[in-house]
Amino acid sequence: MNQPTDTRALINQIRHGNRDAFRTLVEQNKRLVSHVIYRTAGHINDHEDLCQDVFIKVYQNIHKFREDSKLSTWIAQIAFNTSINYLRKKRPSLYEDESRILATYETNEDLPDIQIEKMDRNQRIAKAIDSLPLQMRTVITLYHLEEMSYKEIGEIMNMPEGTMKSYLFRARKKLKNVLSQELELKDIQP
Amino acid sequence: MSHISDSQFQELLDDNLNERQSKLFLRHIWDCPQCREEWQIYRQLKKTLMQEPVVPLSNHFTDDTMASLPSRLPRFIIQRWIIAVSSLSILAGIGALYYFRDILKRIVLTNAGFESPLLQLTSILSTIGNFILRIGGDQVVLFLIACFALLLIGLLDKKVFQRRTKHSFQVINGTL
Repeated sequence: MNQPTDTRALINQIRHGNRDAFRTLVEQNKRLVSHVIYRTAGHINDHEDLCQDVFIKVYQNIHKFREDSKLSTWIAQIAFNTSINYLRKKRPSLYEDESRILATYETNEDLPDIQIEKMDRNQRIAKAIDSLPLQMRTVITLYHLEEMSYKEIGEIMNMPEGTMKSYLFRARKKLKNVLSQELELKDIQP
Repeated sequence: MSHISDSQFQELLDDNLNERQSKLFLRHIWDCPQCREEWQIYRQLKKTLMQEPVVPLSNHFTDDTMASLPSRLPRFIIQRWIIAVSSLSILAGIGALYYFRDILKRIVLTNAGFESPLLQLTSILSTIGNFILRIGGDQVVLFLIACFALLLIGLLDKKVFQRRTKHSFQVINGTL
């Protein structure tokens, strides 16, 4: 993967100990890291600490970055793994729930329904996204908010491109059903 | 034309269809109220998904992160290609010593009176070369060399090769 010249220069500067260059990297990628952590770990008090951990890992391992992927993909991958490890250590029950939810999704597309009557559309969508399995909501976020390709998302989550596409399609179908329900509710209201 | 399926809607939503297919689906959407409604929902969904969620990061996040960084980067960065080149050098050195063991032995014998560390080292290496030969014979040595070569190929970062090769081609073709 050919990095843009300015990204390559930035990486070289960081490798040579230029902390201002690393500050630029943090500024450029904090939104991405925050989104990945938010979507994978959910609403947690440690959100900012976890984001900081990600950047510390990036700093300590920048010499290992082999430039066979985009820098942002590599950073998102670290964020995803950090988040998964956090869930495993701090909230093992939640992590197990995630695995269970995904396993259930494999056999049933219509789970779980949520209380949507009293929310506006964005809240309903947000709530519906939260109810999706971890992998699906991560794919949704990276694809739509960060405009990443299936290949890049697959690299981050260490899964095949086809699986990423399948997760995205099934997640959007579920969310579309939530929106459809909203429109039906509007229709029956006086 | 039958109704458009969910996966077809999503391919259309992501601009993954060719022009002919897109036109066909869009024409159907225009004519079919049921598909039109579905399509509008998908478009609304995409719009909503592209809106940024509320992700709390304080204004001083970058400063806090910079303050929590270790004072310096790891000083000794051992890259794979350095390990590989070092291994290759050691292997070539041992091979050379083994190949020229008779000459080395003669040097050691000729200079037996001298106790220089270099000569002692040469003597030791020469003995190692002979020892390997005596234990396993030529085949074992060749096998070990082949194993080392495979190890080196595995260790070497293929990207280093690819980059160099690409660079060379660019130079040759005059595109660089």
